[in-house]
Amino acid sequence: MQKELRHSAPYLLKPIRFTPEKAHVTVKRGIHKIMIELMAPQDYVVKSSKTRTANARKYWQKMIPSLCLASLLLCSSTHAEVIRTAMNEAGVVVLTNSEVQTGELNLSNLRAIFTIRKRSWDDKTPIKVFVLPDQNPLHQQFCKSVLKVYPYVLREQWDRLIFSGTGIPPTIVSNEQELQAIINATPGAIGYAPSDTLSSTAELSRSSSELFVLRTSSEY
Amino acid sequence: MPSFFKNLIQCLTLGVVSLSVTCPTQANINNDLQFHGFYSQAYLLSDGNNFYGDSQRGSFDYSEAAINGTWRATPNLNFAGQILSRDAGSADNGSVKIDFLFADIKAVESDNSGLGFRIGRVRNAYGFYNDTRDVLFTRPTILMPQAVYFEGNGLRELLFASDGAQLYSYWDADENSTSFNLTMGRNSSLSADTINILFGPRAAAFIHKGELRTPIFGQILHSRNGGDTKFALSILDAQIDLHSNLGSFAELNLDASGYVLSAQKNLATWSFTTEYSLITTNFHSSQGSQIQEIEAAYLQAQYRLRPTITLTGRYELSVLDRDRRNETDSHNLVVGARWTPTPNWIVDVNVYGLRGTSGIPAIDNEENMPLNERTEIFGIMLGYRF
Repeated sequence: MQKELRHSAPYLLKPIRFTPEKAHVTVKRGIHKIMIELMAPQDYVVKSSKTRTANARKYWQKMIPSLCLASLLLCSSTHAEVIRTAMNEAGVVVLTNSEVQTGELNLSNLRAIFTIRKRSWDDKTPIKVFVLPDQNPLHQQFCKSVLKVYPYVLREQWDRLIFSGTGIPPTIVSNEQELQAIINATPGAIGYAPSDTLSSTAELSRSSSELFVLRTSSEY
Repeated sequence: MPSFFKNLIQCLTLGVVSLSVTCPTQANINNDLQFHGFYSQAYLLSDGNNFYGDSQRGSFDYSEAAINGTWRATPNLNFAGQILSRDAGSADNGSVKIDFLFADIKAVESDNSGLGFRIGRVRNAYGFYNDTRDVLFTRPTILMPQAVYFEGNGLRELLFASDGAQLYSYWDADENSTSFNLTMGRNSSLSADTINILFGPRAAAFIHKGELRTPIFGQILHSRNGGDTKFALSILDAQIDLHSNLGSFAELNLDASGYVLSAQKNLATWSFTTEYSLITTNFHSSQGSQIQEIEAAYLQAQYRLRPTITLTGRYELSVLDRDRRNETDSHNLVVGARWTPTPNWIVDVNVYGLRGTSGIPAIDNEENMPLNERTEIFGIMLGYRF
């Protein structure tokens, strides 16, 4: 039976305590595995679809704009897919396109991808990086809390690529909705999103076959 | 001011091109082909000597414009090219040049390392700034540090690009990354302009051919914590052969080799950069040989007052001949403020105090000689990028 994830906290993924020096990220496939791995019983409740409440409808209402966009995108050949990171308490998650096949992404992998050193996914599809403008608060949050680099240092590295021709620089997208939409529609794409939009991305990903979750292990 | 209008036209052309290439469409974005570019125009006002044009009367004779494209043909094969026009007084006349144009083959890639080759005209990695030195957005001030980068006196021509092959590789660890870059250039003949700037018009009159032979540039760069701390060692080795029409100096030969040590610390609001270079030149002729050591260093501090405003201060020291340190030293002090109201626009204001003449472009001055030991420069430069 189709099941739905719900929880008591405002975020779908409750922030996990995180030790920056030893960030460790694992990927698990499939909704059931995610539940086992991620859900603490006191915070997350798994219910069948029959027990859907009014609270859930609110979520649906909030999602309408995203869903409109998503449904447009789902008409294209690629499906939506989401990688979520609960890297820390900042509420930024890393998103990839559904067709991306990746095993483990640790801090050093993410830095290699976002500074365009690493160019291909494991299955040889090119990595396409999408980001928000430098001054965007979410971009700054992503740099500081996920990549742990100063945004201006990242910008310097990208500019060096752009003006020495040594790499395909990230494509800058004007806002969060567009960023998410482009990642969903572009094979090999990677970017990020605020975790409070996860409810909508969760719906998006349910439309496709699998859900990817990246998480940090609090035991490290 | 014809050069100013010429620049304006270039600027407009760039603007039109930028509009046509930077309108991303919704949904599936194919970023395999990208175009970028920049345009910058300076106004320089100096006292003591001219620096790029007749700057003692105020000069607009310093501008840069470029358009580049990168194309991902396959995941492992990229192509990149840039055309550049640089106008810098008598030192550079604004003609359009192919700045770089190469195929980039990523031969090996694993999760934590990679190795590849670039073949064609490639930028040389030399110090922190050389590979993008003509881009106002990527260098710290209007003029590159004279120390280490030889902005004013023609050596830049030899430093910036090579026709040849470049090997690049990197290794990532948990908290740091190390990259290695080695460029081997093929022999190329020096343009008359370069010979003119390097040796002065009087000597250049006797040189009918100059050739740059087997240039090699190497750099190992270690970056910690995502670029918080960076260390680099760069090396260069090249030979210049000069064929003169003077009997006794028929064959002249210049060996140049040297290194740069670079270090940078980036903090939330502060960045500190220092680089030191030592280049040994060995000048051979039928009359014997002469060895000269060029030593240079600078210290730079940058403070980000706001995300859009950066203040920069730098002290540069260069010695053209270590054996005659007191006669050949130059000390430069630079302070500047940079405003980037949007990511595409930049306004940079700098004040330079130069003591010594080693960095002054000789050919911008009367008699092709800097006349004064002291030069003060006020500069303002406006830049646009896309």
